[in-house]
Amino acid sequence: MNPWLLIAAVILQAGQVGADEHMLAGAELFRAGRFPEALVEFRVAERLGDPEAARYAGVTLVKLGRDEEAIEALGDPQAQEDPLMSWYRALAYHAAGLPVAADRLLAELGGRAGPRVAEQAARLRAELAHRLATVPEREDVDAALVRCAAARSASRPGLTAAACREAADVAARRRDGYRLAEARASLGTRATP
Amino acid sequence: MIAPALALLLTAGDPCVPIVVDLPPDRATAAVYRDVARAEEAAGSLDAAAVAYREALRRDGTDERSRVALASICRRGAAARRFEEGVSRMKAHDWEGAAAAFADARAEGTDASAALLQGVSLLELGEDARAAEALAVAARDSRTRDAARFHQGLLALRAGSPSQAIEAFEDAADARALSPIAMQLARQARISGHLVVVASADVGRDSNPALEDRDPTADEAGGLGVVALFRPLGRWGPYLRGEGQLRRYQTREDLDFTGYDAAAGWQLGREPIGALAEYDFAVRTLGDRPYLTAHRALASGWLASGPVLWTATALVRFERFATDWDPLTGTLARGELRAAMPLGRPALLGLSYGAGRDWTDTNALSWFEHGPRADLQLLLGARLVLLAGAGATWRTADGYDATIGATRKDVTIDGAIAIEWDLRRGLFLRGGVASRLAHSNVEAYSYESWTPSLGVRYVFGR
Repeated sequence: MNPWLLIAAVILQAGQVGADEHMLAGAELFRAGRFPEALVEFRVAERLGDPEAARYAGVTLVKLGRDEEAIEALGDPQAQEDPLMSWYRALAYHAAGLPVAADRLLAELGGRAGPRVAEQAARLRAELAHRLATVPEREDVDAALVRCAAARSASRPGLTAAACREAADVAARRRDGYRLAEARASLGTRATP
Repeated sequence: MIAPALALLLTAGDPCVPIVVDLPPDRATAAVYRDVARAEEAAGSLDAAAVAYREALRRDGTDERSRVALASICRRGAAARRFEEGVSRMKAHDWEGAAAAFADARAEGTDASAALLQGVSLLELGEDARAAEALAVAARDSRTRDAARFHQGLLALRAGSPSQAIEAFEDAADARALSPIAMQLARQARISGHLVVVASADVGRDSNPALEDRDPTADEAGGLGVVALFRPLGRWGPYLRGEGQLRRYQTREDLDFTGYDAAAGWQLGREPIGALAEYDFAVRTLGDRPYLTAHRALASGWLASGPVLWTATALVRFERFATDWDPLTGTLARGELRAAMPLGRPALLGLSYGAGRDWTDTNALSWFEHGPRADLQLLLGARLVLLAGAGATWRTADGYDATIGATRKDVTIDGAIAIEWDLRRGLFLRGGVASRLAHSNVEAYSYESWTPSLGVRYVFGR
């Protein structure tokens, strides 16, 4: 992706006194590929009250390979979410082993994030299509539900929502409806942050 | 307001270089950075934590908590880098470089993993004293204890201290990943010392103790055995061996059997090649009456070629039977070639072919025999071993026997299967069944027997 897009987005959204300089510093560091430093600046901006800083920290966490933390930081998908943010969210889902969620997001993303991201997204979808071509085993449903429960007990609401949604989606892909009701019921129970 | 970003960019790289307090004092922002640093440190992200502590210090040079925390992270970072370098050098079999890197990692921190891998590297280098020190440190930490004890076992084996090796291997066997190999090495260590004593006892039911061709009468039997081996110079050198065995039948007292052996030999060589020569004197009784005395000379040599261990053995035994069996008195010679090879990690397969010749004064009682044999040891778990063996022998007498009206020709098929459970501390429980099917051109010598048995074995090694 073009890191200038991220900087531009930060400039447009930064508005909190004190937090701005850290948001901008984070964006510069992100562009320079210095992700630990960028993360620190976004985290500082978050603590200084910037409402968007957590999401940028989430994007940086994706770059750092801290996928579950990234999902947590990115929070719930917003209506009309920035396409670039959706792309990073999809990457986090993919890396965190939530292929159905990643695929759904990529399908929704389409070409909205520009031709370069669209090309990468298409490649990732092709990879996911291969993985999602087979009907999941019962063990896959069990494992997805275990993950949903583990995220909930770890009090990570963002990850809980994503993992439980994935469990319901995985269960729904089986014809016998194995543990489907249980998986859908888990969607209604959120973790307490 | 872009100053922090530019400053960060200019100090790109190592967050552990000396800090210059180059920003106006700002304790409030410094506290926020410190807060972020702690959160990152708690998340295990030391690089981000170091950056955040550093930024806190650039804004508040008096922040001792951040200074101490950053120094600690930098020490851990340096240790981690040296540790990773040690692992890379280990992979490249650069044991000297690896040992030095792990020593540095230990100096920077207290991680027992570095002590463990330093010990392993030193073990490879043959620096046993230094390896012992490092492994002792690793053995004190619960995370590295099992692996450290395993290598302490190897060290003790090399130092010729089998009892310490056994203890270490049995401790290491608590770890699931190490358990099979550790128990196997404990068993080997137990029989590698200067003195080895094996005592055994078993009970079983012999379906055909008298080897009758039809309507055999089964009998219960019990046995005791003891073998003592003394090697004053260790594995390579002279040795003395004594054996005693006793078998008693519930009703067929005429078949009660005792045997005693006294042997002396010399084993010489160096891995992967070795040889031994041995003299053995044997006494046997049957039904509590003298049966046989024999003098035996044996020579054996072995050579490992790749994964296969080749062994050739030859013996000659001068046998004198007691009066009732005197026509059997003569000389027995046997030879065998054996190849043993691992089948994957948990199994050892042995294949052999042997031939024997017995000369007696009576032509009809002299014979020639030959046949193959296979044996298998299969590790079923850390403490369970399956032992199986099967063989066939074709034996032909030298001449016509007027008393049976034929020149005797026999084919014998032997088979045995057992499971042995290692109860630790040298105690083994074994259950199994042995069988023999003999077919002869003289019907009276055809028979079959089945002997299920249950036994215990104690191995003492020092």
